[in-house]
Amino acid sequence: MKMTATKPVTKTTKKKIDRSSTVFYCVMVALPLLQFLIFYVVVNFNSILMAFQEYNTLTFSTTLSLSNFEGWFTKQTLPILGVCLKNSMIYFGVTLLAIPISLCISYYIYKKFHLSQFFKVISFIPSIICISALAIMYKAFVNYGMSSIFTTAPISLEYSEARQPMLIVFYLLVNFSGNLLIYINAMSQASPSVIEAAKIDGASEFRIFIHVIIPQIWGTIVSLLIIFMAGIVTNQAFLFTFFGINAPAELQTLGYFIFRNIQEGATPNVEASYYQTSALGIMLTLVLAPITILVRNLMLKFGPRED
Amino acid sequence: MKTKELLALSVVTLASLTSLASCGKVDEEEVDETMTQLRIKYTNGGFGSEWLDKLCEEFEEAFADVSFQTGRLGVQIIKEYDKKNTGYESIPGNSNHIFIQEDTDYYTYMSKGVMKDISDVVNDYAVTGNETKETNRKISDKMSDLYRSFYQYNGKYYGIPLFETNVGLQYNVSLFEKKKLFFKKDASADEFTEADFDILNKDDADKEAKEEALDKLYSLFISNTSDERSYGPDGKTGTIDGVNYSIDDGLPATYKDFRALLIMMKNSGVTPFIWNSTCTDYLTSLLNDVWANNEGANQFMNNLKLGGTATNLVKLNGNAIERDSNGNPVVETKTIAANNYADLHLQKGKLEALDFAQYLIEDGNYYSKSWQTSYTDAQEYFINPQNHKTIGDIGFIVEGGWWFREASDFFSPGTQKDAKFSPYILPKATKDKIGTPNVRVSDRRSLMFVNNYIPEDNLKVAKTFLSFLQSDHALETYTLYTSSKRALQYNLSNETYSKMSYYGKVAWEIANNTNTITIPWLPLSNFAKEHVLELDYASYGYKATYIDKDGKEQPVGGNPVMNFNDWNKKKDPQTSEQYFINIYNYNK
Repeated sequence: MKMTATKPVTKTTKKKIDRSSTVFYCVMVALPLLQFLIFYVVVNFNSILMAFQEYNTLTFSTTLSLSNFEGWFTKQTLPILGVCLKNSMIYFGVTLLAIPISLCISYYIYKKFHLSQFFKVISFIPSIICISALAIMYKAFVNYGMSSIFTTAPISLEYSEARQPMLIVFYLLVNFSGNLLIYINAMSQASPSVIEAAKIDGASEFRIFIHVIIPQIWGTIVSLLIIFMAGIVTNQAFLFTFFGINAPAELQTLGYFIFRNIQEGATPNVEASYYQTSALGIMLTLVLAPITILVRNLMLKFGPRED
Repeated sequence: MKTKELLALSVVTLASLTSLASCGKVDEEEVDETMTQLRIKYTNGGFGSEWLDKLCEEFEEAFADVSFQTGRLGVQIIKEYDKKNTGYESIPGNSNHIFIQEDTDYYTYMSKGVMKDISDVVNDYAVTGNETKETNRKISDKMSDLYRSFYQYNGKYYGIPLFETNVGLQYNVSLFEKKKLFFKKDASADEFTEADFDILNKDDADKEAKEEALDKLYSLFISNTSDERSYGPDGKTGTIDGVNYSIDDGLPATYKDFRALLIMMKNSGVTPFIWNSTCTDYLTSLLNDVWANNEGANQFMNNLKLGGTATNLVKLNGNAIERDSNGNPVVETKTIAANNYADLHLQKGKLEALDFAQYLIEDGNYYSKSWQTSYTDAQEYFINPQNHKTIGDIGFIVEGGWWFREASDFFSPGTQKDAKFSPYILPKATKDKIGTPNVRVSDRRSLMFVNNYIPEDNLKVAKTFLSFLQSDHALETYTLYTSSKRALQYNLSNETYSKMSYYGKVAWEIANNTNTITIPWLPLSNFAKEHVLELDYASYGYKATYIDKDGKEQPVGGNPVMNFNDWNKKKDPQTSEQYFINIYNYNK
């Protein structure tokens, strides 16, 4: 056998490699950094600044202050935020619970099992139909079509024990199909040779799903989870679609609360509301961002690996 | 491209164009280069646009031979109507010259510099035609002191309010006449005890006691429509010193009368109330009216000043209301300042408003699907119960002064003018308040202003038109078409009055009556302006927290009717007293 001698790496060559690596790194990072600067920092600069300014609704002047932050820690606001947070977490929780179901159905469709095409069409209907139309249909179905089950129409301004569960069901139905599409797409990228090898080794469908497919699409699952987490504070859970600006206090999520707070006509002085809401947004980001990053890192570290 | 793709693309393009086309209705009229154009953007809500169309037409005609720009003769008004306001951020690039909007915060728009200084217009006489102006009162003189002080900023005016109306109860007069639901002269339910009301409300009450109570109840009401009626909440009848006190004759004077009426209505097969789920703030507005009506104008306005001397504050003893030997709340007087303005939440009128809220949701008092009914459906059910056998007759609708014009389509052709509907004059909580003025709250913030970015060439015509809209003739035209009042002081000519509908005439009689005080929901002091975020009419008075049956603290929204109803549904009933104290504790 002919051996080829490798050239020893000299100090100069190493320096060159290091330099080119740095250049490559800079070039690669520059674009997203630029994008972040333009589309986040510049765009949100005023929004962030607003959080640290107190707006006088009489003189229209602003002064540097932390009062917008303090304003959210009062006995008036804390119970409201508490309920909103609880509801936001409920929606996040059900989204998490729905992940295994979505994965199973995606796998079923991916494997083209019996009636998979039919399930595919049915699952995608919520994505095809306009959300307002879907909400009207769902509301009519639940309130009138199921009137023999519920004494009080569940989706109305009047309290009913079934109200929140019915809203959660709608939320799941609508979000389900979007996730399904992503999972099916990710599964289709899975290496057929690995699946074939598993089959030859006598692995059952369940084992293939758990030990071959899931590790291969783990990155996608992590990405989606990060998106869900980041959406905890912006998720309106379709409350505006059902109730406009009148959603009962006990149903409101953080996303809905923030949106309503800066809705023109829903507040006596929308300009002043911007300043206060900005502070709330920053606080929520400060809490949520580290948790999201931590969860991402943990999932990538301890999640299943393809090897 | 494949046929299918082409087809899909066409559908998407068509859908996009259709959605764009539905954004606002702009007059399709072609621009006439020989005339000066005046562009108006109007938020076309319940009051409709007929009044504006008429005035635009008259203005164009009156100024047909006038040149506002070199080389151009006459005025062409281009109108853009839709149901949405134009946000302040869209005004700089907007081609419209005049904006007429609802629910618009004057101070926010002013702070953004999007409104032209129109002090010269407001401090002058209104334009009536080419080179003619009114001579008796300047526009500023037509504004009440409250509006003048609010709209004047550093000595300048940037806008003028459009309408003034309350949101309250509207009733079906024909139904009241048919079912004889008016109180007869000198009749009063003031002697009724809680036990009487209990017997009347219970289906399983002792038969003999119920019959006795029913006799007592029926004896309060007229037997024939021509019977003399009670004097109502104003305690007077006929015209005294030029004031018409007959409008409320036969209506309940006190809460006890009102409760008796509600039972009488139910016994006559009438559902007392209907409201809608689209605008639930109507219910809060109604209760603001009840609060103001019981509290009196001066005391209620302390809320809008967040100051003043409050003379009617309920005294608390720990976490309960202190009561005298008769069970009435003890009240005290306090000077309200920045450190104690939360004490205004102890106003007795509010406690009485909360009592009133409970009457609305008592068993069988309201159309049970009100919480799922749109505002148009509610109007239709109210006007045409005969078309809906499962609904039946409805006595009151919770609506704003715009509803009668808004519901035009639901009247059979030619019947609306004489249809007997009327705004309702609210009862007083107790007998001792009979005869005090009828106080109402106008909480919708309407505004007309000139775009600060208007081209110099169009400024003169815009200001002239804006001035024309404040002329007595224009104000009358507004009332004629909308059955409502502009937020200025004026009278109607006999000619205009005679052309109005039954509803319009009664609404005008009430609004223009010196016994009626309409308070605009505006911050009325500098301190209140600095705390304007707290003064949201839809939540100011009624937000709170409460401890639920599981011992958890829960937030309570600003709608007492909805709150009481929810508590009942949750089998966690709260009394008006508990709620009242919770509101105070939440705000203090």
